[in-house]
Amino acid sequence: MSVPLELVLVTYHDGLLKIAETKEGIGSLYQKFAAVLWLSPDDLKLLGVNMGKPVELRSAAGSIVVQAKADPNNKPGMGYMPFSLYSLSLTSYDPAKSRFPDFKRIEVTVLPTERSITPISEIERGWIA
Amino acid sequence: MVNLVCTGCGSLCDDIQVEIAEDRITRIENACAKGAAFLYALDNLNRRTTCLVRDREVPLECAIEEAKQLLSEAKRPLIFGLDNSTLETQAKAISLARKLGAVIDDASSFSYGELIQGLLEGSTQSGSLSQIKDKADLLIYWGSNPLHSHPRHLSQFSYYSYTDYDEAGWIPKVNLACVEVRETELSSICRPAFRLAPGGDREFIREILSIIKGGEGTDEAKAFLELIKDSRVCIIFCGKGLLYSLNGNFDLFTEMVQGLGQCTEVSVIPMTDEINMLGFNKSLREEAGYVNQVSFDGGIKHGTEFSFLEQVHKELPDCVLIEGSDPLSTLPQSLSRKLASAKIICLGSIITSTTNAAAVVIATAAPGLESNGKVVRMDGEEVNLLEVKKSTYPSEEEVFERLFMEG
Repeated sequence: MSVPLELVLVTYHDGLLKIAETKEGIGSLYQKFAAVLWLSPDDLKLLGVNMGKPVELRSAAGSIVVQAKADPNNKPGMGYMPFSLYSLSLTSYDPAKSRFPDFKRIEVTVLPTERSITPISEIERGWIA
Repeated sequence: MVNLVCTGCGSLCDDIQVEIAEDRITRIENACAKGAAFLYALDNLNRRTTCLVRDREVPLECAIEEAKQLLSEAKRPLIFGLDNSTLETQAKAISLARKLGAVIDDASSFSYGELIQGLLEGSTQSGSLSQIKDKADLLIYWGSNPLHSHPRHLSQFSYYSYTDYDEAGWIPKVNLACVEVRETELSSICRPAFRLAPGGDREFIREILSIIKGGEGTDEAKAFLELIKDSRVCIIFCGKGLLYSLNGNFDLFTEMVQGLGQCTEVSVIPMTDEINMLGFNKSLREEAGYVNQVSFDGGIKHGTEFSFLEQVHKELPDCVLIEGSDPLSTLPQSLSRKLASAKIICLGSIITSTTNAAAVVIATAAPGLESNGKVVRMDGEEVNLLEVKKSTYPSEEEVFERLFMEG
């Protein structure tokens, strides 16, 4: 049985994502590299989802649907995402708490979902909401 | 083939060769995938080819006229970006900010600003890589994975750049180490790789300082200190992982570096992604006395209230002039929403999320490919960028000059 997972999310610089963005702009290749959550294999099992299946991430700042993938190097309780428009949807900025936006320690809840990966257009629409 | 300094990242590799036919790059040698993608991008569909006013294509003159109008009407203008501009452009932008009584800031105010300030003031030691590299016997990447952020950094400036390096049988004379929160391509070749919990950098630094001062510390901190003590000259390359973990406050880090300096010679180099962040910080410090977060409204003022983040968070600016930066792709969505509601004037050579949201877009030549200028590399070395390709676009410097003269 699957359970919601509480994770600490860390974002990192992904060179391939940057190349995709430079070559094609913010499109399907960008989404392929950006909309990914890397977990430990144990956490993926706890979630009850298979490699590459969608999961929903919720933080205090927002929610998105991305692909879940396992990396044996990752520790349980930790999630990793490339720094991108996707991770920025989960990032808060509260100057009362921190000088910088929270890019490296984002508290998220992860749930299995039937929904599709959040389209880039939906994220961009958020700017004019 | 012509020589070129690659402006694809902060490394500014100067051994790039390009073949140009009919004003298009047809071949690139020596560049990494990131650099090559960047150079080719200037000829592809993502090139900003036209000026826009509210999504309508207009001639350059109209776009400048509209930008001038918006800036003159603005009560609280803000100029932001400039970390990928030449020193000459930055100087013009600072003059424009002074003339308009505007706030001016760059991305260093939410990244390397405090560290760079320490380097410029001399409280933290740095140095030209060409001078200190050959003396160094310990290289530490802290919160940085150059294989992704600066793909040729190791081969151009550090581990693989030593003259006796030979892929077939090189015995390293220099130790490569890293401090990271996850396994990376870099950590797999580091001996040792110190792995911290996310946000654990400050505690790790405290442990190291405690041991330096004769107190207790963890085995990891002891091992780090031993590594430093065993070296003669050490370079610490600071990445964004470190600065975000420290929340931009480098006081403790600086104290640690000074403490380590009692054991060995330690230099610090910020792994800036941008090609000229140091240049902007240096120029603004010379002009206004501060590296960033400056307001020219009624004199020179400085403070976090003039940081780009705070200005946008409080929705203060009514017109934002952005040059060489794409904040809508790098800010949390709550801030992007606020920024997108302001009148944005955007200068640049590539189509980005920010140019897509701008009221006025001015297409400019790419520095180092289509226009000349100087930049300051991450190690403080001044680098000359040369125009190697003809362009129909004005240089960024020219646009700022026109906004200044006509504004």
